Amino acid sequence: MAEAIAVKNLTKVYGGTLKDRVPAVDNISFTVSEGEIFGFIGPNGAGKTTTIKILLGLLFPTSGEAQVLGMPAGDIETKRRISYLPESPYFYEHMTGAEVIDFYCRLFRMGAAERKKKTEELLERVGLAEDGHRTLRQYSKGMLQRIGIAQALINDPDLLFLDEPTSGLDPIAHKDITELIASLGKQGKTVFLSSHQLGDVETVCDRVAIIHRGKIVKIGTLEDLLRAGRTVITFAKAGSDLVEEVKPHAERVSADGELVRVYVESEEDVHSVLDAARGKATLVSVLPQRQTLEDLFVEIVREVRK
Amino acid sequence: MIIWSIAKTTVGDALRKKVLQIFLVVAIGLIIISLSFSQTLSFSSRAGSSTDIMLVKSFGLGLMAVAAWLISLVMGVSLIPQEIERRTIYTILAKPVKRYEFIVGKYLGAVLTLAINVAIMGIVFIAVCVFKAMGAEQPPTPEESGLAIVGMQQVGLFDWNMVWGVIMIFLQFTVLTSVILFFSVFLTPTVNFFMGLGIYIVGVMAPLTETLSSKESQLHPVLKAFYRVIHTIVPNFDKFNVTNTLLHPETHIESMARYTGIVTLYALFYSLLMMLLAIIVFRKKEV
Amino acid sequence: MYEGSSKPLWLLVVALLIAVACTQYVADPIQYRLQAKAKPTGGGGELMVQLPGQFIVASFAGFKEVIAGALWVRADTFFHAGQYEAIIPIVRLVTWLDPHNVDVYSTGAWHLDYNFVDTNQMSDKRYIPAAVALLREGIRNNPDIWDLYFELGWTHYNKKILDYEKAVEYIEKACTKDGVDPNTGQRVPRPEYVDRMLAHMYEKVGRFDDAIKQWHKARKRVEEAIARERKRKKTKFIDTTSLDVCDRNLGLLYLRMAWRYGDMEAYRKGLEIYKRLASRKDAPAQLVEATKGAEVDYARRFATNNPPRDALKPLDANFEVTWKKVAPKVFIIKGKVNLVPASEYKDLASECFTHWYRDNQKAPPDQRKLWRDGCRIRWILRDYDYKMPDLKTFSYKIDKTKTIAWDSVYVSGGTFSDRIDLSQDPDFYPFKAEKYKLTILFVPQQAECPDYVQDRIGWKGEALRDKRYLDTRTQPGFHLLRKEMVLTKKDVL
Repeated sequence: MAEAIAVKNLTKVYGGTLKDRVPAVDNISFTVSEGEIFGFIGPNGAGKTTTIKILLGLLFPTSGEAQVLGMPAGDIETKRRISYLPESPYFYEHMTGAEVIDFYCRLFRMGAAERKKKTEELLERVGLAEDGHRTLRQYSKGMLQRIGIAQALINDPDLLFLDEPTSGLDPIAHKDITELIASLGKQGKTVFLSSHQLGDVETVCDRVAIIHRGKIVKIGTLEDLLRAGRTVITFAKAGSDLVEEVKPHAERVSADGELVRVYVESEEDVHSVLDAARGKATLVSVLPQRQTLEDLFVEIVREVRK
Repeated sequence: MIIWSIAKTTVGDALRKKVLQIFLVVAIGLIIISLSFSQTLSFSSRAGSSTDIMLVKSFGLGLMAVAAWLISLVMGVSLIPQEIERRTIYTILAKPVKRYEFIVGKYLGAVLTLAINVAIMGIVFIAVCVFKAMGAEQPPTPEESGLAIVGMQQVGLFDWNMVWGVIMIFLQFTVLTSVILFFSVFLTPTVNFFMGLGIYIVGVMAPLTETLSSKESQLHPVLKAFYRVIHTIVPNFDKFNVTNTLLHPETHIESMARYTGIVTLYALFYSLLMMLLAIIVFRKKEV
Repeated sequence: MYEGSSKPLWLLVVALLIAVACTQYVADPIQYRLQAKAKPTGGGGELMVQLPGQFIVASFAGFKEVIAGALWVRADTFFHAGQYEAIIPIVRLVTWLDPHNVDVYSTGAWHLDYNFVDTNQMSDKRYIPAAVALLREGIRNNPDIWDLYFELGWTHYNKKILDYEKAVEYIEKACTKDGVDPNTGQRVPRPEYVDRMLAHMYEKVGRFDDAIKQWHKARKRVEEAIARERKRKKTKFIDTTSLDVCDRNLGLLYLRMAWRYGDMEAYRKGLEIYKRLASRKDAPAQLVEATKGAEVDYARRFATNNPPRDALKPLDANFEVTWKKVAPKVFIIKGKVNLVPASEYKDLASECFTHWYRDNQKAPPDQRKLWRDGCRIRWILRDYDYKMPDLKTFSYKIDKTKTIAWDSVYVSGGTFSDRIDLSQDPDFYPFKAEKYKLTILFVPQQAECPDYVQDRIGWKGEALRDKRYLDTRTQPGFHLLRKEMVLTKKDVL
């Protein structure tokens, strides 16, 4: 499958050379295949927006490469096939919803008839058919978000960049959008989704990258990242040598206050760990567990912090 | 189409700015009030009407210039920064919009906004001048001549020179707007405001830089060259200030139309220059 | 960058810079031609520092004319408050800010010449050079309109300074210029009265041929003005009496040339004009009678080859005048002059037209006039070496140590007397000099010599004789009466 996005050794340092500033994006590399719904998550200030802006040609890399749909990031013709929904979008308040859509249609050089059709269509699609005549000043946050989505769908893009698309939406609208993203994926579109709503990411995305302090810490399919079939064995009152004993059999060991959690992949390993820990700690629980993305996220961030 | 769309939204946005609306309303209000400023001078050997008319005209022209100056400054300094601050620029530049199209669209919108404001003020101003001229008559003969006069003569009602005056004001501030647009690409609104102010003052003092750089100047050749450069690079706002000529057209035989044509060319070239520089800088600007 | 190289753009920048410089180069000389050419001479520079800072900035901001206008309106307040001295610096400021404000020049000069009056309403003559200089500056800055030439000639040289030759010079210039519409600035013809004034002035200085030509020109201008008004139809009335005025004046000029100097051809021409006027339906009875009288007189004289020569019959003026100091700086001027006994009018040629003598005789004896009054005797008292300065540049600083005063006294019943009190205004009349020159004279020109007096003595006073005081040298061609006295400080203080 062709690559919709290809980023290689991308670095961005604001206002100076590598020597004197901390890079916002530090030598990251990843690809996104066509038709994929790709989640891009990380804490605030991790470099998400910077990465998106570089891909859109709004910022220029300090070093490295970024390609979108086979062309260098920022290529004008490529922009006909992509779209962008920024976080908390803002539009000209004096315009009505319909006028805003019409304005963006003009940026694609659409004719009058086509614009009219498109405007009606999109307003209908995002549930604003009744409010298209009202000025944006009168819109709620949720309605503004929908207009944002509408403008992102004008050119029926092959690749969409969505930055916090469900922010500020009520539960119903939230669900609508999530379903919309999923349907886009089914239509074969590529979606680059940056969001704090980890539940949404987990629901719709095929692959996820976690970025923190400018570096990609984890990348892979949700399957791989969250490891279905994992078992967590929890011990209390662990002796100091427990960790050494169980480590060979565990995928990961983490200490959480008094408790020690041992993550093992296979059933065999469960027994090995139990054997190794006999007499060295008190068993609290043995539970099969699928980690949520949130868990993984928090874990990774804390680890990096240490 | 793209440039025109961006221009239209710029106009719509600017015209709704409360500050600009206040400038316009205050200017129009003062122009109308100026009808009552003047008094018929009781001691003048001529009818006071010619002085009254002169006062209304000069006050109106000066006021419109100040209003246009404020409008172009306040509107201009936020042309680009506001788009970045509000992040409207992202959704636009993410579309297939070339960077120069964005700059040209913004400038066109600013010029249109200025034109609308100046046109409104201009129409009110010219109406006020015509109103003042109505009923104004030529002075009577000296009474000691003891001779009958052939009727009082109504002065001409419509002074075309005032139309030139309004055009000059518009041209002058399209140039200032282009300078401010250029600076708005990379300066904050506050810094840009004072920058624009400074450039305007230097530009208005063009006769001074001209004199300092002229052959007759006593300065060192290097200083002379320096002033010559300043005189050429800084927009020569004094070119547009022909108020005295417009108020006293009998003092010259030069064609006002010809001069306006040349000055329009100057304004056009200078604005293009500034726009081009803005485009060059904006192409490399990170938003 | 994805949008291509910047090199072509930089080339375009350079090209535009060159275009900007070139346009500026082309526009500069045109702009200088458009802006005020003349600079106010003197006083402008030093006043700069007196201007508050904001005026200077506002001048640059294009508010010059507004400030000029506002200052001028302020001057009106001073006028009403009687603070005339405050007006003059404003005049200087305003003319510096706006050299094309014609009203300011004419009004400023009027102030200087007319409004600095002493307790007895006599104006301070030391300001006259300033008024003239101001108007000359105004003329330099506005040379293509009639207004200030006329102002200088008529209001100042003619009425104030009483220098009629100079008045003619300036009014002649006024007659070569047109005016401007005060609103649109478009060229408009000068008012037709300007040309009439010139004709009057020519008569006054004795240039009769020029006067005749000018009356014809003036009449033509009135005709043009009437035609314009008819076209415009905006006037309250289309007054054709100005045509009659031209006709009557020209007619009278001819008649007087006849009566006073015996020009019979002029008599014929004058009668032609008056007969036409008298034949009109609305002609006043008096005019008809006068014309008839003149017709009869003309026929008789023509038949007997006896042209009239009223102004060539000598008349002894018997001029006597005394000047006495009654108190420090207070004087009495007293005298007599033989201008003009009523009896002189009995056989005058003009009597056929005016009928003055006949009407006078018709009155009851106690109401009959014995004299025809109206002449004025002029006196001038000044420092002995005082010369009225001819200022090259306008300056309103006068030398307050100098003294000069002049006025005129009315002649009634052949006598004249007046009390001249110069003691109440030491500022005006400091009397610092050791010696003074007093000149008392009679000038046979209007307004000091009415036309009916000229009927007897001629336009130039040719008939005047006097044993002691006849002066035929000061104004060649004219007969003046002149007495000069030298006074010492003791004589005045």
